[in-house]
Amino acid sequence: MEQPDPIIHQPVRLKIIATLEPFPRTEKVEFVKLRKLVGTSEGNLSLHLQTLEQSGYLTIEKDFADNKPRTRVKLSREGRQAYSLYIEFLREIVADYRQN
Amino acid sequence: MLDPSEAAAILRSAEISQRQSIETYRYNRCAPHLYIWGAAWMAGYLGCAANPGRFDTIMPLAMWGAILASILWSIAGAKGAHKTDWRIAASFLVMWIFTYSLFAILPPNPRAIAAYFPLLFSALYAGVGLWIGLRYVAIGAALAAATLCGYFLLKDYFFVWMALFGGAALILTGVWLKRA
Repeated sequence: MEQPDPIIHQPVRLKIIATLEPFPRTEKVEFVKLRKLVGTSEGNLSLHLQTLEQSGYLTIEKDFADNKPRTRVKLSREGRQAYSLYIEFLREIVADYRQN
Repeated sequence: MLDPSEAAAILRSAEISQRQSIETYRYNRCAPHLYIWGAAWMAGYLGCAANPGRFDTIMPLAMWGAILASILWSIAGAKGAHKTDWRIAASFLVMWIFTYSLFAILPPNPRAIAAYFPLLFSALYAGVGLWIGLRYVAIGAALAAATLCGYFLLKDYFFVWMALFGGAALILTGVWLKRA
């Protein structure tokens, strides 16, 4: 990787993916919980989630629970892979610097 | 090309987000177990308060019921989840074996047994909390304080105190963890 993945290389999007990554692959995280963990506004989170969904890095599921609308988010396999490559890329930069 | 110090800062920030997320996930997974144990304590201690002579039957029944429910809940929720969830149920079993061994070599009276379990849980919560999340330390400290207060100050109402305060405290802390 010559350049960092432009989708992940944005503070809020990185935080979203880093937050979702430790959850089990089958686990869907509720929008409200994700917003709390990421610490951003509803509108900002929606915007970045949309970008990540369009890139295929996560899936957004909307349904009803107890007659209330519910939005849940799950990191896709592509998203996990991209995050892993991105972290690897950063680690290489740090490691190269320490070696030289 | 990214600056190495910038790369290191991004890595640190990603690590913080992940750690926070793992902590929340663990709190959420633990919450139902606290509901189960809270209900078991309430039932067990209230049963003992109503019928102190049958302590030997009521408490083991309540505790084994909670262990079983906890294991079943873990199995139900284990699909695709982290394997650590299994360890929550397995650790209850380990504690139970330890307790039986302890009582075999140091036979206690019913009140001491009734105080022993909350104190054991308090120590475990506080100990585990030092590693995985400070909320557990707070739960452990509150539970130990309540148990000792009940044991020394409310001798005649100890079982009722443990049922209402201990059981309710576990359920409420479950709610607290769920909202983390």
